[in-house]
Amino acid sequence: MTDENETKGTMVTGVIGDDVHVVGIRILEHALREAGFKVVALGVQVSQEEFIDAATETNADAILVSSLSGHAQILAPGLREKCIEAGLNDIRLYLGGQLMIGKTAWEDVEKTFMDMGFNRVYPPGVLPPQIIKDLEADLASKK
Amino acid sequence: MIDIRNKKIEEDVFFQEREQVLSEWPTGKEVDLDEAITFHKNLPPHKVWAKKMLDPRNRSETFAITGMGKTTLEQQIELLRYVQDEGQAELLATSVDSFTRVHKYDVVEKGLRESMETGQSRLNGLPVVHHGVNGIRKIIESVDLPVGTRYGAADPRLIDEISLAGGHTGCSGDGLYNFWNMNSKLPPETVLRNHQYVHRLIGYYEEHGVPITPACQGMYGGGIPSSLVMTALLTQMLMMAEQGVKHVMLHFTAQGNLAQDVGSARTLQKLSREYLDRFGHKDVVTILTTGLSLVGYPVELGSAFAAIAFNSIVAKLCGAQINDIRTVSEAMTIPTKEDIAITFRSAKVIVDFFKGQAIQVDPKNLEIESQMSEMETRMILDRVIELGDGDVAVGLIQAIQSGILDHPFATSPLVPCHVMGIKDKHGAVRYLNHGNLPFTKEILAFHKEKITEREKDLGKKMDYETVVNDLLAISRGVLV
Repeated sequence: MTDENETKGTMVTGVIGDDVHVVGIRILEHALREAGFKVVALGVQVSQEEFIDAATETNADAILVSSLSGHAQILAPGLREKCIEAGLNDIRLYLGGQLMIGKTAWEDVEKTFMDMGFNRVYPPGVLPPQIIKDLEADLASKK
Repeated sequence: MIDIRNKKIEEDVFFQEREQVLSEWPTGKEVDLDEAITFHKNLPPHKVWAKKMLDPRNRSETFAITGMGKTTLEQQIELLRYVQDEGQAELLATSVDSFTRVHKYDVVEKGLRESMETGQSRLNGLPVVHHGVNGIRKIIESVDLPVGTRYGAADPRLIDEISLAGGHTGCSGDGLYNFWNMNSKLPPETVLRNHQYVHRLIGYYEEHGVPITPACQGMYGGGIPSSLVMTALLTQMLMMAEQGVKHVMLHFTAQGNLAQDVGSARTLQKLSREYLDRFGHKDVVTILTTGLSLVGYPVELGSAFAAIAFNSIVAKLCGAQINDIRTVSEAMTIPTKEDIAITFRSAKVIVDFFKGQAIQVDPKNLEIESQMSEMETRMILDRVIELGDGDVAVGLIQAIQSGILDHPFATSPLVPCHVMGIKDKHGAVRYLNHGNLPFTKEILAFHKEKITEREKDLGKKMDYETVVNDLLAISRGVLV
């Protein structure tokens, strides 16, 4: 456990673009708070700009993007570049959900989004403990 | 702020608003209401949703339905024909892509172009606005079953103008469902008003002898107590009827405890008739639809088929005419035509196994659940109506603000979300937190008792962790 003033890191969370699937991200936010992270929850239908503004304002360590509409190929490109433009040079970008339409091998899906500059990409069914473990490892290596 | 009332929109006001709706995108100009009415009147009865469902031969049948939408017309026609022929479907759907639902028409344009160039669907559904009336007609003319639209949208006015004129005879949604489940920006007044427009449009078709059947769902999600879902649903049914809707699909969300689901469905049938009659809508007909809330869809194929089977059994037990299922691959991807066809086939086989056989739920528990759900629903619904001095729309706005009617997982930040459901040891959903719902001490004591029973089993107090576990239970292959 951490005391109130000390967090493991600040996470900006939200569901990107046209998407309204809220339950998964709410569960993750709850688990993150329990694990000692500070969570800035933006809710659903969040634009890239809103993610970046929130990350800048709160000096966040990571942006956790949820996308269940199958439209991530349209919605995700440019987020890394916009982060760099905004001076968020070493922010971690995680993406998870149902990312593409039709049947594509997971390795190809993962590569598509890793190439866009995401640090971690998750398929459906991954539970919060895995993400928390990865965050702890990634944020420790950053320091 | 919009002044919302449960009053039929005046015809001149409706037609004035229509001009603005149809000017949102160039294809709006293709909509000619008189011509569309003629087109609908020429459809054979087996291609009209209401006529097929109300055919006496079909009244005790249970037909499966699920979402299905590709980007281009060719892909959509291929999909629907495949599901009709290989899936042996009785009803078909057009799922509208989610960029169209939020009016991002420029993004849709790009996605549609890329899909046409690559032959791959780039959008997660059919962009009905871009295809326009003439495009939609090609779909309707290519299949031999009724087709209904499926979408969640805070403002579906243009979607429905085009898809109904195109020949769809069923359609999606009510205002309240779309306010709390599909919207993060607009206040309830605006979302309800947008849907009043759609229902007024349907009312216009009905006045001219064309039956259109919208779905009425009220609220969607896992772990939501049935009285909450049913109250939301009944308010929307009344608002639809006021605008002239004559055929309503009552879409009840089941949670997996058979006594509670079937008992609640029984309550819903009873109260829907009672409240329609009370408000002077004796000629409105309802069609029961049930869908099992999965929350996390099962990823593994065996579990996904099992969920379809269970969903179908729930529908059969509830006496539902429509069995709303999730495609086997939906946890992982936007489904292919093969995924959808095999889903329909499996649901049909399960339902057919029950043909001519009577199955029933433990009558004692059924009676208890039926009574409890009725008592609770009446308490909330009557309070909503009272808040509005008899006007359900006025009452709703106040009820949403004050949490008299609340939602545990709303997407809208304007909802208190103080209410929380949790499963008891048998998988029935109880109120862990009743927020500001107007319940008596007796009702709260009943829920408390059921929750305490499970706490004893668990050896700990119920908390948010338990709620999360409940939400993920079905995807893990268990009910609790």
